[in-house]
Amino acid sequence: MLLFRWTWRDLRARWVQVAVIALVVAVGTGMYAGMLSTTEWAQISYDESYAAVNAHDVRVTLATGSLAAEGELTAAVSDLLDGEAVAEERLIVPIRFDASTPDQTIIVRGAVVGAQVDASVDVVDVQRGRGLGSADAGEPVVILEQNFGSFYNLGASGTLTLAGGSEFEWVGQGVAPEYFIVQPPEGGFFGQAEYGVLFTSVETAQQIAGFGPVVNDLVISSGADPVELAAAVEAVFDTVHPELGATVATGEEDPTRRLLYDDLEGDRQFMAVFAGLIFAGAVAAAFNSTSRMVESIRREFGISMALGVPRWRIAVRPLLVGAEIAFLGVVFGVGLGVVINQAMKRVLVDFLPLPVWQTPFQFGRFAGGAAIGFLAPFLAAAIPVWRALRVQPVEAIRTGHLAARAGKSSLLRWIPGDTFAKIPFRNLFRAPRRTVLTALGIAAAITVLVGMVVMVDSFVATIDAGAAEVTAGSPDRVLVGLDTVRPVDSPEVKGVIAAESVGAAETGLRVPSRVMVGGVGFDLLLEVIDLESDLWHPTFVEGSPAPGGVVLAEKAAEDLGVEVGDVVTVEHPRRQGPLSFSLVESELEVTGLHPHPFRFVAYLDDGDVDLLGMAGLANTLSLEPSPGSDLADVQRELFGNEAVTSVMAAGSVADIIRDFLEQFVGILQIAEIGSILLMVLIAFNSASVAFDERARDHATMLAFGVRRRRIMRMATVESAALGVIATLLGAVGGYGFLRWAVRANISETVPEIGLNYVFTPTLVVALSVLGVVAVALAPLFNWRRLRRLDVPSTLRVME
Amino acid sequence: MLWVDDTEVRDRAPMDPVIELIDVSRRYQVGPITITALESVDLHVDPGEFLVVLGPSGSGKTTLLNMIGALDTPTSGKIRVADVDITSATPSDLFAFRRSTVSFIFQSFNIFPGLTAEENVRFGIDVAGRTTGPSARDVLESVGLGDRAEHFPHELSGGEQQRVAIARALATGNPVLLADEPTGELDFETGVQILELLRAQATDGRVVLVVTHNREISRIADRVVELSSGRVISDGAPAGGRAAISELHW
Repeated sequence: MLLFRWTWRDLRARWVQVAVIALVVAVGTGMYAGMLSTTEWAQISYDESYAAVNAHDVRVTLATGSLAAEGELTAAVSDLLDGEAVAEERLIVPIRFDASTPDQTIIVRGAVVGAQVDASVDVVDVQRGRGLGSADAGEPVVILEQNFGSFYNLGASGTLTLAGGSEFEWVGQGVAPEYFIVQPPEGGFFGQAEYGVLFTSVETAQQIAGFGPVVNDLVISSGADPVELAAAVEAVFDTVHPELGATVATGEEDPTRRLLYDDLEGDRQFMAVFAGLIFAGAVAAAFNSTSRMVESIRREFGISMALGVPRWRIAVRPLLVGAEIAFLGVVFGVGLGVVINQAMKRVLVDFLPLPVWQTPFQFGRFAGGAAIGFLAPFLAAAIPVWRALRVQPVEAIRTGHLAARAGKSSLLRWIPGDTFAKIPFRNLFRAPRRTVLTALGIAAAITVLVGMVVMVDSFVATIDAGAAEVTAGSPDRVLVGLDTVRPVDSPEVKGVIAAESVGAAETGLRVPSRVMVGGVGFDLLLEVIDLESDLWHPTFVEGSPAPGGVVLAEKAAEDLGVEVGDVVTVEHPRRQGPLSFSLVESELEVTGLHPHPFRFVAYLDDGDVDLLGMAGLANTLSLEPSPGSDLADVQRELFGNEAVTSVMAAGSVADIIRDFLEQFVGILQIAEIGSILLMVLIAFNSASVAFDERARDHATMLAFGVRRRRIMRMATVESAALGVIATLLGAVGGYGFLRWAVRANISETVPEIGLNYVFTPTLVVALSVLGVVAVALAPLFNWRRLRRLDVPSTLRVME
Repeated sequence: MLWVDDTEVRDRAPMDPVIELIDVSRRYQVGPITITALESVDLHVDPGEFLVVLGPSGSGKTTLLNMIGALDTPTSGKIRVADVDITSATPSDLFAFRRSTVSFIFQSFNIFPGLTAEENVRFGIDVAGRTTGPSARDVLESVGLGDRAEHFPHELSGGEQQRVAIARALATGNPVLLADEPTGELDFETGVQILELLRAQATDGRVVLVVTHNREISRIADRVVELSSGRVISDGAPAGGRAAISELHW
């Protein structure tokens, strides 16, 4: 009991340092467990969400425009299904609708998904308002896809108007597995700003389509092996209904599902590195601070040894102190971890409104973190004890001239200025191991901070670069998508050009294609435009708008390993007849490179349109609103044009991705706050312990008449130098981490994007403020202690 | 010959005391108990005096040193050092006083481990803001450590470190040297060398006040003030007259 009382007094005597070390352990443990928990939660929640809505195992999608009579698709597969299997037909119809509110114009394209109101496969999980009942079948009642509703802050119910004028009521908002992440049919993700999905009864969808009782989609839930079942279903459709052009895919192949689960692995690696860095920084800092704290009572070990106290008995007290600090840290850590968990949970649920979010406390993660979090201070206490106990008592007692070492101070002989200028830097080098450990702890926090901030900034800069490119010289440019390839002199195209709200307009073609060089190849979205148009044309970073070649993105050229003048193979459609196309390969010279960060963006001059056999045709228009008009005017006016499927600002993709990033930033912010907190705590404790260690130096200076302000200034310079070292290490580490993340993670998840690394001036300033100024100011917290320093007593430590 | 350059010392009338304590008492309150460290002490120290304050542990000699050095303030009484009334000075004035008037030499040296011998001495020059006079190297050479200038403290012996501490105090150019048990951590040989060095400073015109419990050291003093329980119990030349340093032994 005496030992406990004694150690408790040790803790109380340095309660601020003890509390800070415990907090450092807590932040490290809490962040480590909290961040790693998110991927565990995501895994559990994805699995349970897909199970909760009984996501399909196999899906049959008919070719665009193909329709089958109701019951025909089910009948085709009925022999393949056992008793428990369920197959349900759906009708999915592309639409455009107007859900504008008094505050905002919301005219978007999207899809109506018509299914049984009591569907049991791919069930719509209604999270706001009510679901559909049998009374809603055939009625103008829909459920709004929740990601879309949330993006525009729409209520649980309201009315919207489909193109053509039919008014519909939405009675709720919900999510369905194919739209957990909204991916428009032509690609991209987080498309809720421009792509709205309405869930309704199959009867209502059939009324909207106007083709009678038809369907074009089949979803199957079965206990059988999905791959085998899909193969069997595919064989049936190939033989029985080849005219439907059915595509069969397993649930695992669903793009949203793949994106979620593929991303999960990337997130796991990402979080593991971030969490690991924060944790390592915290452990290093806790180790360092505890070790320094115990080192400062080394003299007492020597005295005990001199008094003949057995070594094991001497060791027990500091070890118990270390254990008590560690215990406090772990207890704080669990508490902080729970808080971080709650914050992460809220961000995740807002970010991805899944039917099920399971966020159980991850005991395993916490136990692992807590074990290391406990061991670090304990070992930190053990090492100085061991070092003190293996020497002679007289050596352990020494605190003065023989104990004080210059360390690596001699390396800094060159520092100019008076002694006041030299002392701070020499002090850093007196105990290089401690300095390095402290710097590494702070650097780890800064690495995380830099990695996260630069990543977001880089994404935003990349997206902005894309937006700047597609709106260069034409900031209000609007892109209009047509439902199919139409003659440029067709009434629908003329109607767009002649619209009052439309100023200058040019027709264009946008066709999916593929570029290949050697074994490397990827998809392109090939746009046929006037490469020297006054309305808008791409920027050439290399090459020129010469006809007879293709203009690729820099990122595409880099991935393909080609330069201007090289020849690439482009697989593209060529019109063979009025409604028939075939895929052909053309050898095209790369005539130019443009700076759009998306590698799939490629251009062909309209003089080369014969390559596609589509002279005089268009499926897109690029236009500027007429003077006095804006995007909303164009959207409203073209809403009645049946050929128009989308009306978007040319730079809208940037807004959508920026909005997505803002949500993602929520998760990063928690880690950022943790990093900053950790950094400040480490800096504070380091300054505090250093203050104890330098007490005699300070007392000597005070005895010689050095003013307290000057002593504090020296401590600040010392701390600032530490901050500079840590910030530089952290910045380099963060940049390295980012490169790793891009190479190992982002380039696999989204290879289409050429990320521009950005160290913005704001970030440099923020880093300087946080990494240098915050660390530099840490000693100021010791002002009171300096004022109260008992100079005579401190100077008269006898040996 | 060591350097002394203090206008206050030169300008002062020959017999003006450099240090003057009038009825100085110092009491500490520890809970309900009042501890008297010094009681009604009167003391006058003239320029060039080598004064030893002698007394057992707890006699108040270090408290006296701290009072003269403005590290502590008396509960009552008046202290003047080099014409400065430090009992009525502001804290800011006391800092300036320590920079320009007194210099300390400690038992455990307290030189800065991160600075070389020469830089430690240079600290004395920097802290006093002195721009003229001998360089740090000159002062170091005057204490016999010219060849150790580039060494860090841990590369020096205890005696050498104390010489560096003395050189640092001398480098300030201040007229009063206050030494608290300066030989306490040194062997006899080294201790004698240090005393020789301190003695020489008094010869040069400085006041050197050495606090010690070692009666043998008091034999080489111009004057010995003996304290007991916070009171001056004797004040005068050493019994048997001033001894030569070579006569010391302990």
